[in-house]
Amino acid sequence: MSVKIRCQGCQKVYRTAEGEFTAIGDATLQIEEGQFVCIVGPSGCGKSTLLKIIAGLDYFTAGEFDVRHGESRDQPINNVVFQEYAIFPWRTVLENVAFGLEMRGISKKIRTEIAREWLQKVGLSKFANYFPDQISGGMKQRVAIIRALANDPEILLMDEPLGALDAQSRLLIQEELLKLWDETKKTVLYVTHSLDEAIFLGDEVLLMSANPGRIIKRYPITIERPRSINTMNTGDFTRTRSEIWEKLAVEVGRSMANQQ
Amino acid sequence: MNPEKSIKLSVQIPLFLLLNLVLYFLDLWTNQALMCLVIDVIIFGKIVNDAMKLVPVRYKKSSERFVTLLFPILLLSIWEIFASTGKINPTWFPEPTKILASLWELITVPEKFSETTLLGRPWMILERYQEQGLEGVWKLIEEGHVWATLYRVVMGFVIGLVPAVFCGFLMGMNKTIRLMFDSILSAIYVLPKIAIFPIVMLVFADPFGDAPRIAVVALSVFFMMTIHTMGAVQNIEGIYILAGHNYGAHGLKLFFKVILPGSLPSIFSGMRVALGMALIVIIAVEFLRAEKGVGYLIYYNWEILAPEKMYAGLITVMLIGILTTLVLKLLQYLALPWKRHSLFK
Repeated sequence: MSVKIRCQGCQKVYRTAEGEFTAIGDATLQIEEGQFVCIVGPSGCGKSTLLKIIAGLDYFTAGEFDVRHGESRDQPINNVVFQEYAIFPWRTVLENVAFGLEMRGISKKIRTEIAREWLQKVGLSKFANYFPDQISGGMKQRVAIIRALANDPEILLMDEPLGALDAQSRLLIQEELLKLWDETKKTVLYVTHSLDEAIFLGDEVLLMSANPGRIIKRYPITIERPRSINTMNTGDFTRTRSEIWEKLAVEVGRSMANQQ
Repeated sequence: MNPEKSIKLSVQIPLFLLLNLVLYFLDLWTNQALMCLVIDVIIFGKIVNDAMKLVPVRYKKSSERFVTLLFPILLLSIWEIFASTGKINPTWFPEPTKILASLWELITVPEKFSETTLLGRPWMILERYQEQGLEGVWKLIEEGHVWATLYRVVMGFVIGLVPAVFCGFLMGMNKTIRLMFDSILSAIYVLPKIAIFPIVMLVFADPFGDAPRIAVVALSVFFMMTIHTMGAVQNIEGIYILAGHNYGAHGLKLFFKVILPGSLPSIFSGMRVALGMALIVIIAVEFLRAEKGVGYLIYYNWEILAPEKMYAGLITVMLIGILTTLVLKLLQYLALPWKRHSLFK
């Protein structure tokens, strides 16, 4: 298994009129191909910033960072599923899912076919010609997820995609996500503030400290796949959860103290 | 049906009528007409409100429509009565029926100096249609005041809009351009374009022709729409731009697929306001210096003290405003398919 994403001592410092602000203190991580890695940390720790930089939408101010590209020339290196609903309100559900393919110049016939396939996988075929403000939050995020998957990137980057959803939709979509990931086995980097979610989804959980964010510990998750909602009730799960929570709680406390 | 409420109503209505009779006999309607009117309106409003609650669900929609029509008609009737009995000065507030009559006159009787009516020479429409078909009829309408004003406002609007949207996009997307022009734009925006009308007249070869008038409308629309478009671009949610970039939309692609559709709804709402402003500007300009047009007509009828005709002119301006707004709404419907289902809420 080769290393897909590598960060060594990466930093992000903003220089403003009021002085310097360190968003990311030290991001050191290695993600292997095909791994599902979750980053968990308190709010304000810089995990979203980290994700954006890895996506190429921003840059580190220090440290070594590289992403290993695959052999394919057309396959996009990464696609992001954002925190808020970032699907375009002026496009139909189908057009949204086909967006990445359209930007790559793929013909209308083929991209429509691909988009329809993905819509079917998440049960949204009926809503192909609906506009985003006609569908529910859970449906919107499914569209956001398959928009990324339909584009077939090498790496899938997800920034708290289920944060705005109600607890029930979250559980259901988490399961769906694992099923979809299982089919394609992409490299995934998933940012969340929910420890349960991180353990449930990931092969590995990286703990990020309060601001300035540093990756302080790596927890390999040995719980077997395929996982279901019942996995959250097993002994293994609860043991892992308490282990990580010990350290996470400290960071959450520090983060709250920072805000005062 | 709520028995309590209907009893309340059956007491309120006779009391209301009684009250009015009392006021009449106490001569209060003659001396304190305004006060009586206000009291009446308040009580009437309450009665209608209570009555509406008693309406069975089946008739809710139609009763609501009835009330929307009822009130203006009531108001017009009161106006009619007050004006004809002299309670309000009929010179400043002529009876609505007289206004309608003069509207008809404005359409059928040519005005002295411009030698035309609101719609050209409509009595010749049938004749013309037989001789030259629809084209001939159109030529007749072109002679009229309505067309003169409509032409100027639409031309000015379009000539101002197109460059405005273009500049607005440039300024919204590029910080340097924005920094360069923002202050100049804001400074000229607050200048009333009527004030620069005389200067604009100097610029054109024919100062008394249509060109300066259209130019002033275009200028008003331009400055407003540039600022508005620039704001629309800047107010696009940053996340759409990030998503656009991440999924491969850059440069022109990003513009046509993300920035343009993202700012279009806001641009359309700005257009509605700009249209209203364009109408104001053209009427004002026609007051000042025109030989034809609805504004000219209103002003002329002020000069010869024919207030009913002035009001009729106002109604015509309202109708022009409604017509142009409808066209804009239609364009909006066509251009924004994702907003269609919410248009009729």
